[in-house]
Amino acid sequence: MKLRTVLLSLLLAFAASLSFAQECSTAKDNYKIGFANLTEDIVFTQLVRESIVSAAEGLGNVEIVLADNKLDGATALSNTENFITQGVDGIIHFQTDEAFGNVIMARARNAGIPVMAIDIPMPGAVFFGADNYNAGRLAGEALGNWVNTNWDGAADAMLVLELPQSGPIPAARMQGMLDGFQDTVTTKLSDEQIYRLDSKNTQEESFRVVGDTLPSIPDATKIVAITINDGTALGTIAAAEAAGRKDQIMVVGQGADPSGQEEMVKEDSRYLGATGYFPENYGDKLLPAMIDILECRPVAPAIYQDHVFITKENLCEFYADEQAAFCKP
Amino acid sequence: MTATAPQKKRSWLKGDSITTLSLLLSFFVLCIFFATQTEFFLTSANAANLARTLAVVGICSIGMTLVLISGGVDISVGSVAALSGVLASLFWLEFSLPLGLSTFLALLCCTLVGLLNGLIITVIKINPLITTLATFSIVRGLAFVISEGQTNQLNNAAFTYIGRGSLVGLPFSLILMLVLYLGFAFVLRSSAFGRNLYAIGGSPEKARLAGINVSRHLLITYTLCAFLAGLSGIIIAAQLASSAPRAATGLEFTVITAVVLGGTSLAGGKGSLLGTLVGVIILRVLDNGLVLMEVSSFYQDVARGLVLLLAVSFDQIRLGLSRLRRGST
Amino acid sequence: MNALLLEMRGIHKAFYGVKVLEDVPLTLYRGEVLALLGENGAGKSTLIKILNGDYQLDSGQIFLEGQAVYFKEPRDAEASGIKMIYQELHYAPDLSVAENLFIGNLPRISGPLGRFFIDWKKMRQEAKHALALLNVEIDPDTPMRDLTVVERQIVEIIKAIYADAKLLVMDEPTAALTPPEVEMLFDTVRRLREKGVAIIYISHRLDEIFQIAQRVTVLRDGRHVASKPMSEVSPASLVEMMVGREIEARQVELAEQTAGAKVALEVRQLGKTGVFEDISFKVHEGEIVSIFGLLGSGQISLTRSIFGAERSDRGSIFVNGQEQRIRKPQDGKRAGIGFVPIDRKVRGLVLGMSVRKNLTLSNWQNLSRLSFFLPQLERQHSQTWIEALGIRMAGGMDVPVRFLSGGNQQKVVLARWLEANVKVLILNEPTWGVDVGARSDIYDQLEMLAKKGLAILVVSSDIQEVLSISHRVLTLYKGRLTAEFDHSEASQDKVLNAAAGGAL
Repeated sequence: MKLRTVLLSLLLAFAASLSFAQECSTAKDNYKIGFANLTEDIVFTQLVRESIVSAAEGLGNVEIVLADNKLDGATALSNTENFITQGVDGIIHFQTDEAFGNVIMARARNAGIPVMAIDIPMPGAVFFGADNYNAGRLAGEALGNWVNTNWDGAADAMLVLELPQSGPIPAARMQGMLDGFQDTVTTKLSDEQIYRLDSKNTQEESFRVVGDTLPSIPDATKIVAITINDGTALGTIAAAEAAGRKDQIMVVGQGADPSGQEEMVKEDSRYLGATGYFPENYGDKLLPAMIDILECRPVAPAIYQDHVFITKENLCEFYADEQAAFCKP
Repeated sequence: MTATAPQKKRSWLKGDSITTLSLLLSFFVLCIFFATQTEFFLTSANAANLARTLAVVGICSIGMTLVLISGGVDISVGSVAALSGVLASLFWLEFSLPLGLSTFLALLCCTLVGLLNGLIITVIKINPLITTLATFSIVRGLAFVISEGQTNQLNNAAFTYIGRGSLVGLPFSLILMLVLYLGFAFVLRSSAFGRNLYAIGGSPEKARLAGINVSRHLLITYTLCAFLAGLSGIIIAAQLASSAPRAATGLEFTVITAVVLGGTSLAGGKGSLLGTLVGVIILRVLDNGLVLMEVSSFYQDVARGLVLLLAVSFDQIRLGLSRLRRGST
Repeated sequence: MNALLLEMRGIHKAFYGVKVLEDVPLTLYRGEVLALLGENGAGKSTLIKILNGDYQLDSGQIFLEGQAVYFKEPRDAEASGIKMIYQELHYAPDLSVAENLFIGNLPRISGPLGRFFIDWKKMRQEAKHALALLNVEIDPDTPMRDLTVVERQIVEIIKAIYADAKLLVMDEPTAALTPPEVEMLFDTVRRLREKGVAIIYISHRLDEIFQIAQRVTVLRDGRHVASKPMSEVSPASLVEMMVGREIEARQVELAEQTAGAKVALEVRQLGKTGVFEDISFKVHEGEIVSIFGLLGSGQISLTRSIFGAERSDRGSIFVNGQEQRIRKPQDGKRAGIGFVPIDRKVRGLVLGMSVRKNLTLSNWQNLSRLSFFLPQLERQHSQTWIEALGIRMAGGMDVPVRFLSGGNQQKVVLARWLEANVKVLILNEPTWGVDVGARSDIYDQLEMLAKKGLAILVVSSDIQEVLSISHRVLTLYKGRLTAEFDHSEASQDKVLNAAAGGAL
């Protein structure tokens, strides 16, 4: 038994060394890489696209072919086929439908083109993207620490502005935030103190559900809220303000996009901060990894973004230009 | 010749009295149900919360009522509402115009969208559903183009007053909404324009033969509808102190639900603003009560659909009964 | 005779080279009701559409009160006092009677805002006045949707004369009315005459025409046949003028009923509280049985219950000796019963669909092999029926049913049931709204179907029809069968007497 395992691994190692020894067939001087964005409708993905284009310009030997998956699996598939027709060397896919992942990968495999997947994994593609659970934890821990310092380690209630219809990724962020908070705060919240609300990913909807929930916790004066993104956080704060209970709430979120940054830097802001996803540097990590794949250098199957919890204090280290009025008075 | 009992006065409940009464009845049943289910329903904080959040759907529903009575439909209201907020922030933040003027210009642009809807429907004679489905998409797209997908903060006390301020103890937006309801109810009930609108909804051809300028009436109706949708958008932006291109997504369905709930017929020629107001309130109370009861948001969607079906079936059953009665005499 | 109101001279009209009207004249005097008669396609509606400005005449002249007039569109005709009262009345259900009377011309308040606001008081007063003109007791504040069909028609008529209409055109106004309602309408028409309004009355029902009209104009194939006072014509002479040949009282050649014919349909003690009670009868294969009763005697409800379109409360139904549990139309169909309802609109034709599709609608089992639908089979079957029943249409089986005449539409409905292999066929008023020529055709079909062994149950309120087509006649009075007559013993007097409860 044992012998067979050893032999087998030896054989594999040999095969591997053989292939390494061979000349890398996909290596070239100039590369044409297809990038299909999730959608062009939201800031986050626009920043991802810009970062990839500017990273390509920085590298000099990479040409980018752009496409838009429009949040739709079928579109992603047809984009894949277009890329193959256009003769790209590698494909970077940012696409939403896990069900289409297999088909897309099969097409690319047949054409001998390597694929990287952003944020939503596809079988056989090198993953690059957010480390959703840990990104969530960063925000949860920060909120827990804030409660320990300012509210004697105990909150009265927690509002969870989640996005149940969108599956595992937002769920991982929410779980990360919840676990991070509970593990940090002195007095853990009980299940009865936690209100799970459907943000539907819009400001108005979070405004409405938080507005509807606040009357049911009239005695809570120390309310924490964990939110799926900046917009949801803004809606939550606006609802508390409309109910005259702005000073009773403290909110953390995910994203740290411009509208969220603006909220953090306000005087007496109730937006403690948000985990940064830095879509603006996706390109700097994605393209070198893609070139490594093409030039047959070993690449980890999953590459995670380095997240930072952005607050009023460290904002200017990352976004000095965006928040010039605040950072360079 | 006929058994119609002599009716002396034109009571303002008459006509739809049964529908409106049954609606009011279901409203009270709903309230009693929620009052027994959650102690927070009948609190002043909740009442204030409800009062604050009626105006967006309420104001938009006025325009939709007019359009449905005229025998048409306007799917573009949600997009128009988003456009108005986005335009207000464009004029204010990018063009540095005074906020009052920016708001006015935003509303003007929305009104023009309505005029465009009306012109396409009356001059090119494209079906209203198709026309507004097209503008629904075009206008939403424009909102994304103009805002570049960004959420923009609109921090100005005078502006947020529209959404959050109070006047003589009542939310300003609620007062604005009630004034609009009174005004438009009067127009619908007592003005030649209003009465003609019913005739047009009943049969456009017959109205035309009776010498009514149908095109002009429809033009005015769609223009008013878009103006009111724009006003709803301004209120959303004022409540959230920010504008987002994704705002008011699905508003058109909420609004049509409320209006139909209020007894207005999708076939045209039938409906009242009193009914619409009750419809708007019922829908809002339903959402609020279910959040207070901590019902999952998916079940909230189910409940909303069921209430609509129930209300409309009730109307059908009533219609059937009255036919039966007539048939047997 | 009163003064001449309208004179149309030498009207010609052709569509795409096909002559529809040739040298047709029409005269109309104040205060008279002129019946306009003709088979479908004779040119009645074209003539009327020329009169109200919907169509333009090719040549000819129209004089209204001695003045030559030319109407470019219906609006012009209305302005000159010519008003159509349509069969199907559109109205805004939420508007009151008063508002409907004045819509388009609502009385406004005086003063600078008069453009916008309605003078309700004045409108109500004027509405009352208008309704009083014809002694109509309808409250002007009633919403239109609370009125009966005839009341809506009357409001429409009042609206027309209040707008100073001199001439009303009524096209089959009684199609949807019950007998008392017809009386109500005729009362109104008589009052209109007293006021000097002239009426062109189009109807297929000769009995109505004799009740209400003073003169009659008959058209045939786009030509004027005759214009005569009603006193100079008889139903038989009118029919002759319409169809251009003498049609003797139609006598169906009934096949001899063989003594041993099987009972196809048997009804035992069928009852429905308040509608009909204790109904028992049999229909044999190859037999035509008519149920005759005054309207409202329960005959419609009875046949609907046999088919399952309504539910009966008691009793049992047997088809070919098997008891059937019939609660809904599918049950009736499954039991082998075919049913042709009274209203042409709901006879089950999809008017916009082709003859072929209509023929085979809901019968696709016959047209498939191993569950696969076979279009060529559909064509074959359709062709067979079109030939067997003599369905006439221009343009073949792919023409939408809406373009067929009433008689041919009726045949399509028949064919549909035959395609479904029914054993019993129930027909309600098979010749309502069908012109005389096509009527004869339909009788031929019934005769032929009976000879093929189908059991046929007919409900009709036309005594001549009942007498001429039935092997047996059952009379119904207030929901109970009062008598049964064999063909040989049935006579108009006896049947009418039994149907009136024996009280005549």
